[in-house]
Amino acid sequence: MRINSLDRRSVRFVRWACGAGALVAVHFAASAHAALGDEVASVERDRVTMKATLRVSQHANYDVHELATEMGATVREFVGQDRKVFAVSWSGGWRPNLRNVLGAHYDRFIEATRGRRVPRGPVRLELPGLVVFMGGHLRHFYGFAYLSEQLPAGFVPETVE
Amino acid sequence: MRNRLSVGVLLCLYGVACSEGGGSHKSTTGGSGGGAQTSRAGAGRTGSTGNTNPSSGGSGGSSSHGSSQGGQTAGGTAAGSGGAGGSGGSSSNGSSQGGQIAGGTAADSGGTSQGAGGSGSASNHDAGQGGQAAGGTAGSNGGGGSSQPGGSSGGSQGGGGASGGAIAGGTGGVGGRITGGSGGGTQDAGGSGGLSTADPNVVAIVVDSGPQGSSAIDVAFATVTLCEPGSNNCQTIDHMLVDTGSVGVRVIESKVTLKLPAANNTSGKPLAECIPFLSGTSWGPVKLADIKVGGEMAANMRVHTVGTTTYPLPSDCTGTAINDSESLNANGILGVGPNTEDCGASCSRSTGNAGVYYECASTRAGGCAIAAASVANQVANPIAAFSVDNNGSFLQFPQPPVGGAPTLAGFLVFGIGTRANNQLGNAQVIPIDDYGEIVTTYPVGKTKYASFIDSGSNGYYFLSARVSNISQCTSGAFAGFYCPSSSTNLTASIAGKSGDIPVTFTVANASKFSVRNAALGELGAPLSGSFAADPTMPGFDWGLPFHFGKTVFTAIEGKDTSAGKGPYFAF
Repeated sequence: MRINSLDRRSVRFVRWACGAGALVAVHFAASAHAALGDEVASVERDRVTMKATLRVSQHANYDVHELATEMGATVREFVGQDRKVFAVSWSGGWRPNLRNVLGAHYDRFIEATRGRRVPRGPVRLELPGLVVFMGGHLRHFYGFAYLSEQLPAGFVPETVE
Repeated sequence: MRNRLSVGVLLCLYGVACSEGGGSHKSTTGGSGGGAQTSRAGAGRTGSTGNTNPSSGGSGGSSSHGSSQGGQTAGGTAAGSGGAGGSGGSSSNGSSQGGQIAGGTAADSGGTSQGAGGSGSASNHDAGQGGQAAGGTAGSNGGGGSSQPGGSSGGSQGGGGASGGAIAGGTGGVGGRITGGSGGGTQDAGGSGGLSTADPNVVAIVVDSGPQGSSAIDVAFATVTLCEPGSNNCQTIDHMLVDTGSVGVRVIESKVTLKLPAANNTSGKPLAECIPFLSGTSWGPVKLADIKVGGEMAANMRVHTVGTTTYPLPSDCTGTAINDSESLNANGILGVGPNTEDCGASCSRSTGNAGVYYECASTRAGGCAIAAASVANQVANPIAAFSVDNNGSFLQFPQPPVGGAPTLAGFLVFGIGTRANNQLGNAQVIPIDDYGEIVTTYPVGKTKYASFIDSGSNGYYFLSARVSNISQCTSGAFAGFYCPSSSTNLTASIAGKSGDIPVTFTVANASKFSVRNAALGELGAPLSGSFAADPTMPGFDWGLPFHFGKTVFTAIEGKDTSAGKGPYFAF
């Protein structure tokens, strides 16, 4: 992952966003990521910590807040009609701070993986109400987490293409 | 010499094979077994020819099979007894065909041995057939009283296709005979090619169950020697995971017995690193060391020592901790991916820094903080720093039998087109992008997926179960892996520089695998479902089984090769 990673991600995102929903806001000169389960307002609160561009795309019953950080990571937060983040995903050169991304669920995730023999491959963890997946290799990491009991109606988390 | 030997003994206590000791000609203390010279065909070892031929005496015996055919097992046993110091033995194959197994066992019994144990080894003569496996074991023991534990063995550095042998530590007993040492020599390899570890750019590697107590599956290991920079104070560390998906040498902190100097940032403060991997995160200080692999050396390199002993884990170094050999299933990582350093520009800039490197002002909690580290200060690919053969490498393995094998011997070879033994030949070049990724189409002609080749992934990871339409194991040691009711053949294609290259592979029912088999050629698992239609998530992770039955090249970024500048993969 070198300099132009952000461009590539952005291009791809635009392609996807236009196909999947209306692109309503582009280029907030701000940043951040709200954690899983947090109020959407935490996006604003966290903005200061990371410089990124924010795009928000609206879908039928949820919004996607996409943050493209200068470090090349793209973090997407999926916000339901209750204004809470029900899913996050990330992709880019380096893994974001998982404590920030998973929020209150971080400790639960770590606790569940502790003592397990770590596989040499992507990790998928299913806990009651929580699914976490992460994978990648040096210079490209990606993953997602979602609250499986709080998905909006019709939202299929792991889809094809 | 004394230093080196004592290091060896210590390492053996830790269960780390001392293969340099076993494989070199330097070890003279305590009686040495067969130094594992690599012999070309025709230059047979001395010793009796034929079947097992125990010999007695102070310094080992050797047995060898003159010429054996494929599929055989050659196990020579040499027993030495008495004398000061242990004795070793060696067994070797004279001119063996691919697919052989050579396991030498040396046992010695001491009356009152004072030595630091014997060392024994087994070597294969490379007869140009390649792919033999040799595992030597040596047992040393003590008779009554004052003997020291020891006895190390290594499939030699110079062995034909050697793997580290088992460690045998005989402990002083009450007279009598103690046989230490076992194992070794269980690889089963075919191979092609005439690779010989007599050449400095050829390293014998092995897929096995990992360091003692581990249960690694589809992980390739090499032995790496670290030295205090510019000195002869060295230690060999076995079971270093061979990883084309990462860059740089990492070693579990507790395995390091050397006094390696800290690597400082330009500020003068020591550097530490929080490096993410697929499944977790490793933390620890960056140190300086000379790195020797096979016959090549990279001087004064920055290596990552992994552990929380020196510096407590910072709260912002998140993810599942892989900070000991138990969680890593290895003693360290030999990262030989297509980059020259592990992070690059993302870690050297002050804004938008990736947050991988830390400066440590103190050893107290909170004493380390994220800092920019210039590219020159980062943990780097040792291959790129070799004086020769520094433009890349390749991995070569035979195809293991259907259902797998306990071990599988292969080669890591440095350089691309720099010697007669590392030519690209018919290999097709696979361009890779800034993410180190390639394009895989599956089914052939249909859907394109971002993908990567990674010897450090322990299976064919691809698609989601929903897309591949292959069911997963729901329980047991292989829970989560693919478990089709019958073996499934799949064909994908990888985008090469000169067109798509078909790749056919098989995924078998993982629940049917024997847990004894560490080398599984048909192990698959889902990678992921694309999340909410995110097209950036890769579809195929071509892990270690992809490398079986192939020669897979990794060219390093910016380096000239016979097929143009790296980075690229080729197979």
